[in-house]
Amino acid sequence: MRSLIIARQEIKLLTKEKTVVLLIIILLGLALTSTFIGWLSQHNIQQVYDVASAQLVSEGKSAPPSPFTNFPDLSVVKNMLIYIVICGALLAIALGHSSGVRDRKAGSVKMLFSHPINKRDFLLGKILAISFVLFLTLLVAFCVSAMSSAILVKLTGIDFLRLIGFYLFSFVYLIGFAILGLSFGLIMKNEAVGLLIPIIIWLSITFVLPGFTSSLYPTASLNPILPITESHTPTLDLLHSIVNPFSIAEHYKQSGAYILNLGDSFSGNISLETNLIYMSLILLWTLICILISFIAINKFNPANEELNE
Amino acid sequence: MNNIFLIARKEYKDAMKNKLFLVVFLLLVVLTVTSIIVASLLFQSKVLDYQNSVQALKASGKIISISEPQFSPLKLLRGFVDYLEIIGAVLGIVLGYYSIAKEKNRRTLQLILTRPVKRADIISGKLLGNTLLISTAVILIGIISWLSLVFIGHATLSGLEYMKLLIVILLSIVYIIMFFSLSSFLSLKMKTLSNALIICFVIWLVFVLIIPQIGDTMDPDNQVPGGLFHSLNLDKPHEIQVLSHFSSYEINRDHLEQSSITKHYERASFAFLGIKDEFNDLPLSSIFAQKWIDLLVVFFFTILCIIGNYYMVYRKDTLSKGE
Repeated sequence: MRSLIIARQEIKLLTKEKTVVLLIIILLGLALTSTFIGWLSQHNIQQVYDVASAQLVSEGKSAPPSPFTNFPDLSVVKNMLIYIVICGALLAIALGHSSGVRDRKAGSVKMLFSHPINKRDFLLGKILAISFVLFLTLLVAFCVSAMSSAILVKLTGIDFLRLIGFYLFSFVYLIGFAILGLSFGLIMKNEAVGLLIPIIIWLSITFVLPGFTSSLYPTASLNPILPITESHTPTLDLLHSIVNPFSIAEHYKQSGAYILNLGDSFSGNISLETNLIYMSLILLWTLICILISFIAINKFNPANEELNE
Repeated sequence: MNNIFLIARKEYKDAMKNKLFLVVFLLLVVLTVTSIIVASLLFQSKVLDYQNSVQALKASGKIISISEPQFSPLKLLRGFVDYLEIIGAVLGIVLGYYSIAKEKNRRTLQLILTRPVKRADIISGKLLGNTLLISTAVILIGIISWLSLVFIGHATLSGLEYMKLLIVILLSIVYIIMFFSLSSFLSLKMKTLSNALIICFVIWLVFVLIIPQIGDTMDPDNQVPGGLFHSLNLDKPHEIQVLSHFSSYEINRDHLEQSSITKHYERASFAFLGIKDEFNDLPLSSIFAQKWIDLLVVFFFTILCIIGNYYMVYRKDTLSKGE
């Protein structure tokens, strides 16, 4: 009950944070842009294929079948896989961090704990609030994606269910980053360090690990389409097997593509079992982040309000 | 002038004690070396595949029609550019933020001005100190990359290739200084320092990640694994011929990409390092002739952000702002 009171107050304050609102607007804008760009590029690429195959035929060569014939309609939202990984995660970190430092910044921690509130109620209230704001943002992003996709392509009931599943899965992925932002925001004496540490963790997960597991250059990992697996050496295979379980951004992209049924070009040729393992790893990541938040709240000292920028 | 050097030396020393700067720097070093190792292993694996294919074709009495993989050592440095454009920019942001935040937190800017120090000297000193620091970091990463190329990639560089590498290192320094200046400008301008940091990361997100991502995914050749034209067995002249039918789409895509400074940095660096095949054997003058606009844009925005810092420090209310 006390957690709910804290959560309600926290939600009010979070929605007033300009930077958080700005990131929410960017994410929603990207949800809209994603569908339009997805549709435009798909439309254009089909025309490029038609012109190229006509040219091949005119030269007496045979044109290979179109690689886009079996592209599902939901592939118009394929870029959301990337926007969740980059913009969604940064929003989640900013949201959690903002919630973590607010009371110390306002100098209201001692006053808050003069009421019959324990640290667990405090943490639970904060987690509930950031979860609610993140859930609401993703709900609106879902509505934007669903409506814009329905206007541009023909979606079935199953497509809508897949889209719901994708956004729910994205919520599970993002809440880990939000809790990480909250945890470091609670315990770090320096506000900027509390923000920069989760950002460095996010950078490592998003751009560094794919470099080890899939030999991907950082900019290449921004394309939702998976690269063709290049010939590997035993050293690279060993590196892949060691680092792969931790490369959750890649697991998110592949499992997200699997949920949206985007095909092998996006999800890789993974089986249902592998996909379930990837999903479990992401759930495990979220649980680890929750565990970190419990460690953080135990270290959190309400008597010490010191916070430097 | 003495004041500028004093402030610069203090900036350098302070940054060397900054754990976050050291963490990001070490991350960059490890990543660059790893990317060269991975690129070298991939190349060796391609050569091995080629040799196996040639042997198999010879054994079956067929004509060898596949081309031998061409080794271009500077191409192995693609990861160096990619990591500098993403994480190098973060390094600049961290330095720019700390450079101003420490003064605002300790309220030392006002204190410095009670001494015979000009406002411009503060910015010049900070800029000089951090430029030296960024240069040290990028040059060190460059040297480590070169050593990795020689000892891991077993490459030998020609005089021209050394020159090209040097140009990319200089361009990278300017690019990171731009993010440093942007971050210090926002930290000077905004009342809440953490908001300045978040806004800086939002700008970084949009210009370093989102705009290049949109441009890349709109590229017809990036819609199929391995590339559409490769899957259709179309060579470069045919590809250009096909794309000429979609000139307005390509122009719009190009304009979108050009709105990102990171893309200008990337285009120029990729050209000098020969990562784009068409620039591989070109002399420096030809690359400069084709890429001068990209270079100009990077320099222009860097100077603009630096001017922004001088403007902010002369505004009356800037130095009184703090948490």
